[in-house]
Amino acid sequence: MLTDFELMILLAILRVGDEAYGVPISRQIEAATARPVTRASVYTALDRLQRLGLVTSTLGQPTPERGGRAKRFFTVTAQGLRAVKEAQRAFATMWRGLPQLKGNLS
Amino acid sequence: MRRIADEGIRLLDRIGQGELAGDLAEELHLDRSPAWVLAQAMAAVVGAAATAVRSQPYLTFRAVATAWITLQIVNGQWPFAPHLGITGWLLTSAGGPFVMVTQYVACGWVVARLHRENPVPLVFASAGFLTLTNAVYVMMRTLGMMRFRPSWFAVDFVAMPIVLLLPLVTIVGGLWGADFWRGGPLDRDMKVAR
Repeated sequence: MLTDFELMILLAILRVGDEAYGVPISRQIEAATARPVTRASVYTALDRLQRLGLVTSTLGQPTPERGGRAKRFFTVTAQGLRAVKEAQRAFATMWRGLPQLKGNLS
Repeated sequence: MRRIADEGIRLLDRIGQGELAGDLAEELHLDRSPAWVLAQAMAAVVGAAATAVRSQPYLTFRAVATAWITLQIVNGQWPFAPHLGITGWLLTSAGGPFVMVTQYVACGWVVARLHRENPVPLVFASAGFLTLTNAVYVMMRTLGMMRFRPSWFAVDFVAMPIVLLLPLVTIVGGLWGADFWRGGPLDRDMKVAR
């Protein structure tokens, strides 16, 4: 079962695409939630997602602005995509038919 | 501040969290303040240290006991020789603060030297324990002062937060003892423990 934060991370990776590494993933979540994200917690969640086989990672080239450190790029696996779809279905089921949530959010 | 943030990033790098260190270096290069980067780096180190400490309770107990015993020895609190204690002198002398800082640095240094396999989490655990004992001391002393209101009441209220922050220099001593600034080996396995 995915936590909300892990689901956010999977969605952020899908949104960012090929350039999904720590910085854009964290910034994507911050932009969507308007809340600060602890960078260490992003890596803790990414480690767990990788252990579960929901994401894979590859090392990129070292860059000068990172002090010669390489980026680790993340990709959502087919299993990860399935988990996201299942979560979406579960949320949609819970959402549907609630009179309190009728009308637009703006 | 920038220099301290760089040291925080370097510490992350040295405990096997190179990707996070790279991210923070990039964020510092982009638009983040050194204070923000330092806070992120410290949160990561403390988190990794807490996980590592939980996985090795015996070593943690040994390190904390080492720090406490070292502090008692450098304070002159030796069994059967209470007259050697310098706690009273430390609290009243002008040179007291300098000696106290040196004592806490020594505690961290000794812990790091006696636990060379994984000094960082154990030094952080020791610093946490010393902060806790100082917090109890500060609480008891403050309660006592509120009851009796001695003449040095106001001065003590300024000095007490400093006593509470003092164990932070244990971390400096620990990093020194672990040869952090000389490029010595640090806990490469902390990433695994994360």
